[in-house]
Amino acid sequence: VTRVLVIDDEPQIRRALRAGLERNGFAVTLADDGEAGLDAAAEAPPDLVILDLAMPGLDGFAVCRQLREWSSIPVIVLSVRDDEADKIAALNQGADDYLTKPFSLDELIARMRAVLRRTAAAGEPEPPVFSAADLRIDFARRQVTLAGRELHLTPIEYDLLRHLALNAGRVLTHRQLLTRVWGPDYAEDTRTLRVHIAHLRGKVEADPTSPRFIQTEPRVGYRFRQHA
Amino acid sequence: VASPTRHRMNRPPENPAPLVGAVAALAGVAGMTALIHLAPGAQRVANVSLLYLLVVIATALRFGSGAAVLASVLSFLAFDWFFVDPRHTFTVRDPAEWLALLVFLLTAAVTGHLTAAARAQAEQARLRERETALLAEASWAVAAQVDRDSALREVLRRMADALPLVEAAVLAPDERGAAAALVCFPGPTPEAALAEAPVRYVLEHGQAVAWGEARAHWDKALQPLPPGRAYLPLRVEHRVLGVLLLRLPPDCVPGAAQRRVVETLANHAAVVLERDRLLGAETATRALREADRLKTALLSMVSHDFRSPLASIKASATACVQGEAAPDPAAQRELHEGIIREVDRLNGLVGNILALSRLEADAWRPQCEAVMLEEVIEAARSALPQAADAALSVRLPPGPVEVWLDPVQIGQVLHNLLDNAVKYGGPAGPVELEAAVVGGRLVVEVRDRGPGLPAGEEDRVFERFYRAPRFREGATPGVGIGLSVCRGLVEAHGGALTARDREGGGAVFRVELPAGGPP
Repeated sequence: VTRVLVIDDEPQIRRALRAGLERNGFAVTLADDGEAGLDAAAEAPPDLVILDLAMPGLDGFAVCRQLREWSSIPVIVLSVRDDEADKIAALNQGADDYLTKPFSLDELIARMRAVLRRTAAAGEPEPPVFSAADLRIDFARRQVTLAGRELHLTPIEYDLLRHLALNAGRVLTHRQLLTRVWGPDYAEDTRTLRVHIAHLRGKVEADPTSPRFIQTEPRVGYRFRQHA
Repeated sequence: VASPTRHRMNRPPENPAPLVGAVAALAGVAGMTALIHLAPGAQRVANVSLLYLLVVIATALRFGSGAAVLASVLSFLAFDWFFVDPRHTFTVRDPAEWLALLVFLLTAAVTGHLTAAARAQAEQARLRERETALLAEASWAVAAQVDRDSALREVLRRMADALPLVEAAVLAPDERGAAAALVCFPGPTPEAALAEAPVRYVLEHGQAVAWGEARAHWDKALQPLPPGRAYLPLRVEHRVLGVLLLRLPPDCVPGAAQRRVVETLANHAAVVLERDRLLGAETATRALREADRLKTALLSMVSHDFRSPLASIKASATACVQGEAAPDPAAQRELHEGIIREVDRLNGLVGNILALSRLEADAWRPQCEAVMLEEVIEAARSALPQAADAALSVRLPPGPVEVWLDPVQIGQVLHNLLDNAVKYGGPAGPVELEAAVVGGRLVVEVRDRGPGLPAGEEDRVFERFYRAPRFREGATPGVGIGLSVCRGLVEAHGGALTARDREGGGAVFRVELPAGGPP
């Protein structure tokens, strides 16, 4: 059973999440503020944390930061704030995903599954092959095919696609992508990222304004769309 | 605006020093005496007196009446000494010659005086004319400035033409009543000047502390001001709007003409301040009226557009929990789905109202950045219902195109336009989106095949709370905020959002934005 810790000061949200998540087979623990949440996480580490940002006392950013000091438990932030600056801050501070309230339970559970799948895979060796719909990435041979046809990607494009695919379902911020693909010296070079993503999408997507794989989170980053 | 025909008044027309006039009178008379000695036949008494008269007139014209009087007396003496028998004495043998001499003296004195007076008058007229021209040009230049500070700066610049200004500033009380400098000449005025006692005095009493009696009174009653300082009220009727602070060189005492110029220019400055005050008051009134209208509209909206989804939610939720028997699962599911739909609608409404109030408060500056055009269109499409998105036809220039804009705001604008096209365009035909970059401007058109726009009201669809008559009481949700938010966002980008009827039926919404890059 997957154990989920919900940290939110809004009682009705806690109630609804408990009911909704338990019905979907999760075991739910509740905490009504940041400190209680950190205590609960230390006492019995859950498999996943759902975290509100605006709370009295310790806010969500602080909880996330403190949690990351000793743990890599995946965190999904749930917040009424839809400001990109908050999203970027939360993601760069170690949150795994960000969902704006009001949200639908389906969306939340999909994001939770994506995050859990990634963390489960994190310990294991990289899978030899990744596939989503008719896109197939063969990591061993560095070969990408779309509907059976091989795509010719530059090394940078391949690295971008690989990172996005390995984090499927999760937003990678501009900074995270730049740091991982180009190195920490390039963390601010969003123009380079933008241009390479455009070229990559030109090869992978039939219609870049309605991408099947690489989605844009304006001002925040990119996400490889989760395929069921 | 520098004009090539600036009338300089810094130096008033010179009244040469008296000593120079005296020397000139002496030299003139001596010269004339020598000349008469040299010219044979010039020594007849009648001629001599006329020749000396010439010297007197010339002296009067050039050096004024003092020198003229001196020249008359010297001429009289020289005449008597050199040309009246017995020569080389001041005695006169023939009593008739006494008469000639006295008549000469009288004529010389009167002529000299009249000439000098005429000269002074001409000088005055020239000064006046110059002053009038300067003021006329100044008032034209000040009136030509639209904004307050450049008009005030123009006043100070013109003042510097009339006076040897060291420093000048226009001060006005701020909201807390403390004096603040609006404009300064030539550089920033030290903060200390703002707190000076005369500034407070002028603001309170509306009386100048500059020159003449007021200045003398001030110097006697309170501590003496540093020389060259002047503080003038900027007044319209009884309202003191500000203070004009001048600093002249310590030895400079402005003449009457210069004071007139200063006072007239100070009046100009006062009118500029008054114009600004009235303009501010008018803007505030308009904003209040607008806020009032908005409040009324919001209230009526809250009562209808918020209450009806709330009512549906409450009814559906209570239907789920009431009663003894559990409702049948299919019905319950339907109720729940209804709740979700109504909540989404409320959420959209709240988002639009928030956007609107942020636009109203002018607090929403676009955060422009370089982005790929396709990503902006993607953002616009991503929140559309799947069926609507599937019916959309998108045309973009080939290849990645970089544009400079706020991707979130413009994404929101395009989303609203697409959403609208789908909602009002109905199933009559596909919705088209076409984007192109033309000469650094991004042009996006969203076209539908719906009922089009009410004739003559094409622009009214952007008014707040406007809904086309046929949709007003219908079930199509919406309260007429979306498009006005869109226009506000586009205009905040320095662009334009327009609507027109489409040939063959339907509507076209056109967004045009500067998207070339950072300005």
